[in-house]
Amino acid sequence: MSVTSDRSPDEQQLTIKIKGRFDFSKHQDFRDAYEKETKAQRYVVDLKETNYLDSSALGMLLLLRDHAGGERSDVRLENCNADVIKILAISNFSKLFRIE
Amino acid sequence: MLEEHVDLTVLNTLRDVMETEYPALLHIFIRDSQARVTDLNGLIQAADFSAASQTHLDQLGLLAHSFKGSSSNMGAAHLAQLCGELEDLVRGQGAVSEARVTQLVQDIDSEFCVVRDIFDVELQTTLASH
Amino acid sequence: MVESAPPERLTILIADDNASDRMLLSAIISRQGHEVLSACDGAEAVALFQRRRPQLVLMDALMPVMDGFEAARRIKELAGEALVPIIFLTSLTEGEALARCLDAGGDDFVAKPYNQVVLAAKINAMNRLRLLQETVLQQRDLIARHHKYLLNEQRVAKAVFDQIAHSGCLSAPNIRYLQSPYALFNGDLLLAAWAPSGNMHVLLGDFTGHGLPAAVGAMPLAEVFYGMTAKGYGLPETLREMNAKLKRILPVDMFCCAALICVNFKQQLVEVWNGGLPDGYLLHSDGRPHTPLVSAHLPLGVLSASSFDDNTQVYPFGAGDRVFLLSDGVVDSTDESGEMFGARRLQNVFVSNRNPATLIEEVQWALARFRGQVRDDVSMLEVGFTEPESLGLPSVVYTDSGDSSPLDWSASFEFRASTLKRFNPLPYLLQLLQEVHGLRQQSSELYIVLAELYSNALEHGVLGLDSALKCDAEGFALYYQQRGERLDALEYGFIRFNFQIIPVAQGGRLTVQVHDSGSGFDVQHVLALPPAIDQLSGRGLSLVRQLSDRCRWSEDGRTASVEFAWEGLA
Repeated sequence: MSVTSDRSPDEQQLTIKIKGRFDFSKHQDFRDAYEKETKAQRYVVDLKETNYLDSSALGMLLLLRDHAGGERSDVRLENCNADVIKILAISNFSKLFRIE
Repeated sequence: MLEEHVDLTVLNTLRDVMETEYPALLHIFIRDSQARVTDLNGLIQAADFSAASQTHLDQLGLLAHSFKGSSSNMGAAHLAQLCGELEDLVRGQGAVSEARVTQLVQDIDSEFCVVRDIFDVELQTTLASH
Repeated sequence: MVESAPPERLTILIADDNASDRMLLSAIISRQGHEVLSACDGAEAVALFQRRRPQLVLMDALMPVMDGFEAARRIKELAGEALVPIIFLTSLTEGEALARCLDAGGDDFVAKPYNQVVLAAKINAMNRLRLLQETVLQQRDLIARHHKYLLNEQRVAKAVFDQIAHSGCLSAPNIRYLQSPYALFNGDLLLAAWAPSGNMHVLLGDFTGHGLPAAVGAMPLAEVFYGMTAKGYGLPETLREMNAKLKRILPVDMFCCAALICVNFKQQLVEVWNGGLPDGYLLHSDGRPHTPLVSAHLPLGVLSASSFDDNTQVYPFGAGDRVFLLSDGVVDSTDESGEMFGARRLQNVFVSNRNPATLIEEVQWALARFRGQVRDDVSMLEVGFTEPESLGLPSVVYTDSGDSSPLDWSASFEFRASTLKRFNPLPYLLQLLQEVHGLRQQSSELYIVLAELYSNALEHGVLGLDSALKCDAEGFALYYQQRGERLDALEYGFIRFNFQIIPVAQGGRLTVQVHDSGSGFDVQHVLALPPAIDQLSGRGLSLVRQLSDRCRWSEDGRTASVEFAWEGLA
């Protein structure tokens, strides 16, 4: 599976990992990873093994943010490589997500 | 004795498959096969027949092939085998022995006579039972 | 017999010159539930096939008149794309003869003597293949049909959209661009329009996704862009409205990366907003290094109206200067090894460019050399500076008759601090004045004069900014930075407009007074300065004097008064 998700023991945090290209082909898997989640207070998208991200991936991140509570959401993007950071910077997604 | 010439299980199957057309099938096979035997004999007895003529060998091969197919379907296994031998002979590589051809056509002729008699009896019995 | 499903009733053609074999096979096939057509040679088989179109053929290889090989070839030819399986009936044993059967289009063999079980199994297997082929062909045709529909829908959508998109001024002499004919369906959008002030607004947008979803947002965006630009709204108001509209109508995961620029030819300024597009560039004519126009905002349609940031950057923009914008797909083009084209290679093209007219082509060539092939899905846009005289002021078309034109009235407006912060009153005021038909002839001049007086009142009066700052590029940036800061912090202050319309003979006269809460300026001194030609400041007052019939300032410099007169309409 190129999209996997893990719940922390206290069920407060859901971590979604994406392997390879993060583009429209991951759309369904990505949605499935969080859509049934109701307990988590915090969401982490681990992009350690993500080497590419396109605009539909940005759209998917917006969907996750919406699911997590919109303006009040806590969504972090972790382990971004330089290319991914560049894409996030151009779209100024740092204004919506904590990028670590 | 009879089993050596015609496979009775095949005949039973044919009777079953053909139903009311069974006698017609027997009749057509006897009639067509008679014609083939006549053609085979006619060919080799013709004044200009030569086992070295490719045309003649081709004609023999076609007749033998066709006869082989129909006799195998009718359960006449030995007849089919003789036809197969003739077909292989005339289609084989190298020179064809005219004596061997003549011998095989004679064998086919006499085997067909036996098969025809068996099928004639079968035909009469079937017609009588209807 | 082993039957997994009730056998389908097929029409099967049997061709055998041997009457007893033909009869036997017909009986077997009929008993298996199929309809039988029989032929005693190849020619008859072909004729029967042509007439009755059976779904499957059982055929002897060696037959008189026309043998099975030739008959098979002709039947396959007649069948065309449909799969009509041909099973050869043969006791042929030599490999060569079997190969001939396959070459002629045979799909399988059955040996004599016939075995009913084997026959039934082979017919079923072949029928499955036949159905599979039929399904494949149906689906192929369906896809082809859908594709045709889709292309037609795109053609119509594009035609409708082009009507709207081309209502703008993309053909103006100072604009060069490259765009795929089907850019709309790549989500790329290019719009340009004249504002009543003679400013030019240009938008390059890139919607998420491809196809219809990427195209649907373009129409409302274009409508807001053209509608608000024509009414005289500036970039911030237009951006706010575009963002709010897209946020309202698009699903959460869709947005539009966009850059919007406003070129003010008279004051030689360019105003830029970039949300999500790759760095654009301001290319200077004087050889200074190009200034990157970095994306400082989220794309349109992401943020709610209350969080949206409409702050723009303003730069001096004169003869020979150009703004270059591009959609993604240029910088992030990769070659075979996965290396990106990158900003560095793009900038090298800028540096080596000698003829401004070929810059876009040069970028394209560099991209093609890098990738080994040309891309047709990128958009590039270059907007240059032209003397305003050579562009000609836009003409506005009115649709009402003029019978109800009001000719004797006055009105006053006062806009106070919290309003001045985020509301541009000019479009409303201009619309009001255009109810007076006699003023329509000079609506551009009227707009420019009002806009100048308003920005003077706001910037120098209410905000107390010193235009002397704008003497060089650095001070210029500082000026606009201060403007933003002071406007954000503004708590007190006002700008007042008084309009007076009176009929004069067959025509009439408009008097406008603009009064602000600032400390005024030394009227004698400023008006005595020589008109600035090529400096970054000082254009405003000379423009006002040039375009209005009479203008004067009160002694304290806090009130400006201008007049526009018109003759009777023919």
